[in-house]
Amino acid sequence: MSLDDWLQERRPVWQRLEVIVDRLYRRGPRRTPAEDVGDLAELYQAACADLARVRAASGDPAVVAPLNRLITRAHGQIYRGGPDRSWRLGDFFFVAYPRLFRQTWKFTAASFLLSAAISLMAYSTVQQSPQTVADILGGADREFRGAKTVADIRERFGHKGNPLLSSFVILNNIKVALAAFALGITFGIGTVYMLVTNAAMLGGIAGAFARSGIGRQLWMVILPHGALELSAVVVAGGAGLLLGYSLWCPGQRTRRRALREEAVRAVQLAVGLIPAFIMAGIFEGFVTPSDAIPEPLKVILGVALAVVFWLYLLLAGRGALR
Amino acid sequence: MSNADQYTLETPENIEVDFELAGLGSRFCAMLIDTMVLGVIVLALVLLGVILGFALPRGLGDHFRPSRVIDWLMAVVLALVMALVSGGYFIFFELLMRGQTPGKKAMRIRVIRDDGIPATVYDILVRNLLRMVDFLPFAYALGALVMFPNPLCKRLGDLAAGTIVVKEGQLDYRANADKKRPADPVAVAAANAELTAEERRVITGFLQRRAELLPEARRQLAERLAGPLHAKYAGQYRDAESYLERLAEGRHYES
Repeated sequence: MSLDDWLQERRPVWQRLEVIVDRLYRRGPRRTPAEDVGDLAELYQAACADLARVRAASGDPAVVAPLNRLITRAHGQIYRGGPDRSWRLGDFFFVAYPRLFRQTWKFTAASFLLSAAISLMAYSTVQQSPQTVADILGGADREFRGAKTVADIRERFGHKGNPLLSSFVILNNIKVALAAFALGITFGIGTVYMLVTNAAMLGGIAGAFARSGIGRQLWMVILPHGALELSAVVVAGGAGLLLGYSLWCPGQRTRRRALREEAVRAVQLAVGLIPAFIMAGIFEGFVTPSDAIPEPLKVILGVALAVVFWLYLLLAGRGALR
Repeated sequence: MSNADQYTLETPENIEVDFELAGLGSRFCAMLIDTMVLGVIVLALVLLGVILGFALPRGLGDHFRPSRVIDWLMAVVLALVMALVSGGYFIFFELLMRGQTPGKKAMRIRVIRDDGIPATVYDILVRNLLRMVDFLPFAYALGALVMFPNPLCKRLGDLAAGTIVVKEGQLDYRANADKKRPADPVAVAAANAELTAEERRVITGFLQRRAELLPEARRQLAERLAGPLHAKYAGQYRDAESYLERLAEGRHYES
């Protein structure tokens, strides 16, 4: 048989494989007919053998190139593995996420210690020299200087039941958290920078208000939503530090492999925070500025929300895998 | 054949398959198209928000205070716009279209993992969240800087996610193979057992495709191929092409 006759004979096999593979890419395995999926393995093996044969016989690029491409695509569909278990939302949030948090708690702890230390430093520094903190943050010192009044608090945090602002705040917080994760790729330096500026800002503002003798009033306004929000930011910082750490200390793995493995864990740690930020944003939009709820109750609600969040991280998903 | 823009992987069937990597150019074009599509979607959403914001409160009468309704509508629109602009677009489409976005589809490229299988949810999240770092300080400057020296054309997001972007053109063995009746019997035979498989492939590849080349390119390519081969196998050398023809059949000592 001449090569051309043989090619003629094999072509329908490749075409059938191509149709199936196209279907798999377009619609996914679940919506591809069973008989197609059943034929896939056999057709794929036949095509692999054909490729080897064509390469040995002539190596004609006009045949090899498309056949090769067909096989790469089929290969991807065959070896993709089963559906990702942890990506069922229920399993992810009730089992996988809290477990992941406990596996990586050291990074969250580091993120917390850094944030707390910088906040305290900014808090005490701003009492003596507001300019120093303002210089470090590279911004105007208006935030930190002079006497503060309750009206300032209201100006900054008092957007009353405004859905526009609250959706803006939610999305901005999520973006900040995801950026804290993504900047981990800079060997963690970008993440540390973000955590430091955030903490210095918080500590600086709190210090400035405390100096004016209205620190308590400020915390009354920050805590209802801030307790959860700041907790979530600390965890997001942990995700970035985890990513950065994999580059500094890959252990037995190559640096590239370590980065890749830890990136999958860190990204879960970060995106799993999205519901927490939505919750905190709803509090910020509706509980913090509310006139109906007495102030102490707001703080209790906010702190309780954060406590539930930490209990969830520490205790949820300890049972057997479903 | 391993070129700069190819990536070879050995499958469990002991077959080597080559992935054609998408270069900076096609990826940049895909990004431009995506940016335009994104711009149109955002514009449409804003228009929708404005139109509904004006039209709805009137239709609903006095039961709703118009300002509340407008606020809510604008909040929803703003949320969608912000989510889209800050990377949600790429995540959404790469999940929905299995590694493609409208721009990538237009350029016929696709994101896959570097072990050849489709990118998982987490891979797509990682590579697109790191997009904001690749974008720094402007217009993907950092991403391009990382991509240039990288043999697999990876930006930071691809490095962290273990993904590559490959070309996925139309499969055209039908059209091509049919018109390749043995007009060139020499090429198909390639009977010289002295040649390595690699050399045979290069020579037959050239001989079969030479008719499609521009004369100047054809002459240059033939000389580039024949030079080293002649140095290795010697034989009668009159001009490059005839040497390649005869070498393929093992008649390179005949004149």
